Amino acid sequence: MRFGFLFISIRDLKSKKLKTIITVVGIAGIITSYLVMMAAANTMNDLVDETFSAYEYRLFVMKRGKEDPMVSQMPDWYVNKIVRVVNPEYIDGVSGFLWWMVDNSTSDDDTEFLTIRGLQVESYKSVIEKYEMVAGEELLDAQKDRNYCMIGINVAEKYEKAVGDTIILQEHAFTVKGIFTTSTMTDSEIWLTIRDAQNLVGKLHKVSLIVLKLTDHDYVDEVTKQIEDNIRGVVVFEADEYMEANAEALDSFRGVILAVSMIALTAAILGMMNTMTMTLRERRHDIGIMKSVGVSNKSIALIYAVEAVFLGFLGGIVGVLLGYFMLNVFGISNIDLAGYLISVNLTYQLAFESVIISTILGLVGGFYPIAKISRQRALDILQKFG
Amino acid sequence: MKSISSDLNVIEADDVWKVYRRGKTDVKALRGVSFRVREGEIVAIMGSSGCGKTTLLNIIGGLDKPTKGNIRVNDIELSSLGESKLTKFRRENIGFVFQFYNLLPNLTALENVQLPLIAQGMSKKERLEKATEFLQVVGLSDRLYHKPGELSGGEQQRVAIARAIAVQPSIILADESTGDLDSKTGEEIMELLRKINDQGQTIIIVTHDDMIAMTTDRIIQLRDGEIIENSGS
Ligand SMILES: Nc1ncnc2c1ncn2[C@@H]1O[C@H](COP(=O)(O)OP(=O)(O)O)[C@@H](O)[C@H]1O
Ligand SMILES: [Mg+2]
Repeated sequence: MRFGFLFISIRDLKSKKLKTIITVVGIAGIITSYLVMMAAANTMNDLVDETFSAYEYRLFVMKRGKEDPMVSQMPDWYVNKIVRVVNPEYIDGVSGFLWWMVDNSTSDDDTEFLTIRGLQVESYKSVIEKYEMVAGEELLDAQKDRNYCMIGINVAEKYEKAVGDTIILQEHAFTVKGIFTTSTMTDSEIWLTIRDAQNLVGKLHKVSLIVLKLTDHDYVDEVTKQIEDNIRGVVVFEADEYMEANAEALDSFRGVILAVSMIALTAAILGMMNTMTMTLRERRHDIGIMKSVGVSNKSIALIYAVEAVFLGFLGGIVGVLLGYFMLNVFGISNIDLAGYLISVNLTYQLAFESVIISTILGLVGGFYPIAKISRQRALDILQKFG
Repeated sequence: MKSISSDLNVIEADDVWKVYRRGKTDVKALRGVSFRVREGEIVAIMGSSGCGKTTLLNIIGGLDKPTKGNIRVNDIELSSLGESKLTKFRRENIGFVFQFYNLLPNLTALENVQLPLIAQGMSKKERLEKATEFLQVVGLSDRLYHKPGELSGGEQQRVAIARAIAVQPSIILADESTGDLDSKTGEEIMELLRKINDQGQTIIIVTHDDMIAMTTDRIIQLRDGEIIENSGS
């Protein structure tokens, strides 16, 4: 294999500028969509992982037959009953929440949902693990904090709300008392006192979800039994298992992303194959001459493999730049997934991987046509041409 | 006959057959051709179109293999060599000048001449010197950086000759290299080939031109794939 021939690769690419540009742009487009999809998928994965880990050691209690915190409904005195029936050594805290979604769409095209959560102010802090205040104060007093709310950082950013501003929910005004962050999906929620929440949805004295925090994971079975034996019509779940089981939507979303990415990459390989087949057809006579003057198959294959790799590499670089611009300059980096605002980040690792994938893709796409022609006899190549 | 030509045979063809299959019919391009070429000879192969001249030249140059028979070039039996060995053989022993399509259109004259030198693994400096030197031999010192499209037909053939001789092969094969040129340019090319032959390289040219053939050491006349005459001119 002789590297001295590589100037021919560069000469070929230069002599076909338009074709080179079209190929690079084509690959770049595919890499951009791959990049944006993967960035979204990765961000979602991280978020889900974070959210799950925030629920370790926790149990969910819901109404049997309505095992969905948005739908489930139980009397709020169940909270006190649980405190009474469960061995106090096993639990760190118990609190009830009322959860629901508000359709905040301004038009048919623009569907937006807000997730609202009512808090039992005296106990919620004992079961919600990671949250930090970014600004203002927490809701702490059932009386004084009526008509106040706490909002997640994503809500604050999306609706440009600061402490002291008002948010209108179902025609009621709530003043923002504080802004919190959890680095989980919870950052897209609005929190009210439970009384306000119950009034707002007309579910007086109801909660939809009761959360327990255990002192040790070993007590899961025991506590579950104590609750289910004493309170009829409720089910107990381990929080992380429950969330995982209900992440089907996310799983299928990720599945779709993966499938679409694979289709995109396959399309890129086929496109590359086509480009290289055309290039080599145009270069038939060059290849025949090189062979007849004694240039080896490997040297010839190297010339065109370098072209293919270069096209893939350049396509990857342009694709990453394009992806960066789309995400950061044109600001499509915030994806609204049923009320959860996901901010898509382009990591260096993903950018690097995309360029590598694009380069490999060039090589893989070029491999077959290159192998095919470099194995042919010089005479057969020349005769077909002349 | 020149003093340089020795008694050593560089080409020995024995009962060489070439049969092409074209659909259901066989085309017998060569029918039992046998001949010898001595080192330093300049030989013309003549004959009407389709009589097998190119086929014979391709077999001598290791571009094609005989269907039957033996062909020894520089003591190498070509009929038994595989493709990559044949490529190596061409690289080390043969300089080709075809009728058409000799040059890579995107490369300059200087780069085209360097192709076989790169294949031989020559250093950049050395091959640049060599290519420049041989382009000077063919009278193209002022065309080094021209691409084929910017050269006349005769100039392109001279670049091809420079490329063929640059590796200093023992045998140069020229297939109707003057056929496409006007007679004056053709004569110039021929003169160039004879000058190269004077340096001791064996040359075989395929030609239609009696005038050109007359100036060679020997003419091999083909008809329908057979040698009908093999005589000194
Ligand atoms: N690749 C091929 N396939 C089939 N027939 C061929 C092929 N090459 C040459 N021939 C046939 O072999 C004969 C000799 O061809 P060629 O050697 O090119 O003749 P010349 O060079 O004397 O004109 C012709 O009949 C030609 O059609
Ligand atoms: Mg011919």
